Amino acid sequence: MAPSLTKDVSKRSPDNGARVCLGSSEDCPVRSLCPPTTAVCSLVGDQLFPSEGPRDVESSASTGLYGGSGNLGCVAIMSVDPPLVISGLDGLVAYAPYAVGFHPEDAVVVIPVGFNTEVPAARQDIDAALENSDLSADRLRRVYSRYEHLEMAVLAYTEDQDRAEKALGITARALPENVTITAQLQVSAEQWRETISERTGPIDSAVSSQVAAELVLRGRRTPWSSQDELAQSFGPDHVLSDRVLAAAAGSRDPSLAGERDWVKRTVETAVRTQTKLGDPDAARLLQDLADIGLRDTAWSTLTVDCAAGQAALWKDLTRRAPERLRTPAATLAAFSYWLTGDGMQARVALDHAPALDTYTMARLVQTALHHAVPPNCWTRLPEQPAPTRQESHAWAAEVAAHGHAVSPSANVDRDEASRQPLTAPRSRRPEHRQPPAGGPQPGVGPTP
Amino acid sequence: MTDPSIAFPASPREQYFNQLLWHLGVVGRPSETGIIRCDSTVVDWIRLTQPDLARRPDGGAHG
Repeated sequence: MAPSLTKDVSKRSPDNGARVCLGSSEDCPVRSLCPPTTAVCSLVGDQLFPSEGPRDVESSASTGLYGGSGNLGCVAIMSVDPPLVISGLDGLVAYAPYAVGFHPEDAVVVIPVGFNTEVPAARQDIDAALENSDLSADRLRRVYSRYEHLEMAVLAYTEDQDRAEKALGITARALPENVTITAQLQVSAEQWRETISERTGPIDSAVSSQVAAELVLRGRRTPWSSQDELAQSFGPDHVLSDRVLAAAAGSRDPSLAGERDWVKRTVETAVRTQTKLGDPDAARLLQDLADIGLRDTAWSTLTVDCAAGQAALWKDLTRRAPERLRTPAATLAAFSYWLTGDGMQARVALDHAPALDTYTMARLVQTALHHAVPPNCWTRLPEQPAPTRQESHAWAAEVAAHGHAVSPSANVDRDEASRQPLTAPRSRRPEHRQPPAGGPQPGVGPTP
Repeated sequence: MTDPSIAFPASPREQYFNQLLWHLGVVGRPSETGIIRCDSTVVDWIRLTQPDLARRPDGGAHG
């Protein structure tokens, strides 16, 4: 678990309980990145001391320069590198679509601000927030109560003020006590309104452009214009024909070990060179993924370092796969996006897995997403052992009989294993739900 | 809420993943409950941590 920097750089304001920025050069880890127009303040006793002299918390908050209830000032978004520092609510509104991945509509978005990089952001439809308030509250509390102190901004995207107020109120009440709400906004097409201070402002295109430029420089892609557009980007495109699939099946290696080597080499080369696979290789790889063992070979190449490239590869294969071969590719895409921290694209990828309900890996990824499991829990597993003689014989027999393997040959021993109840780890289960650094302890889980 | 129709994780990697989730307390004891069904998607966790990007300004990695 990474240390929270929040407690090092901000303190609780004595009068209103809100957190304020302590942007002194000694304390603030992102001070050097602040815009030059941003004053430097530090909190001494009950007063904020900006560079030009002492000022009390109330008057500082009224300038809107710094955090206080309803006055979001210097905000550090630490999930990008270098950390993005934005000033004011205009910047926050401009940043939000990048956090979501698309421009939200009729939705409530909860965005962490401050210095803890491990805090997830959430989105829910306003309808869901209003109709399932208890379930929604349970989800938000369960995840955000894992952390010590949090600062969050809550934004409701709707033109309807009454609807926005209700959704913001429900969401604010749903957040646990360790969360300080720094800003609460209704965002409409033309303007934003901070509902605590009643401040309003236009959707500033100049600020949006500046934030966009900063994020593009950090490698973030432009948000999709809508959730539908994001979903469509995973839809079928240039689906491989049966003829191509049949030809590719005939090219598979008669040795299972050889096919495993081919899968590993092909995936790693495609990711390293950032090239799309040609139709024959794409068809062969998709058919290999139908074998759980070969899918695990592909899975074993997936690390944080290459997750973004892998996500692009598996997304492309998801789009080109016929429905019967789509689930493994979509699941690997979802896992890749989860590793990059992109929960939204991971969820959309799973939506394109036709066999989601029965495909175990997909259900596991779905569970991780559902509970906002931080991806840095995942550690790379060792390479899989070489196939057993039994597995190799089964593979060779299938290739000889059909020209290609038609069933998961690596599952020869798996079927037996699947009937065995999984044994609980020998270590004691953690009392709290803090993710252990580095995942399950070595030697506790099953031997890969 | 559990879904008994879901097969227990079978491949080593699936088993590892399930163990990880069990350690984190988001699924029940595997031998008793299988994988917990995700009831409905009320909340989307849109942005999780980005371990490769989460670095201090001085370049040091978190955690």
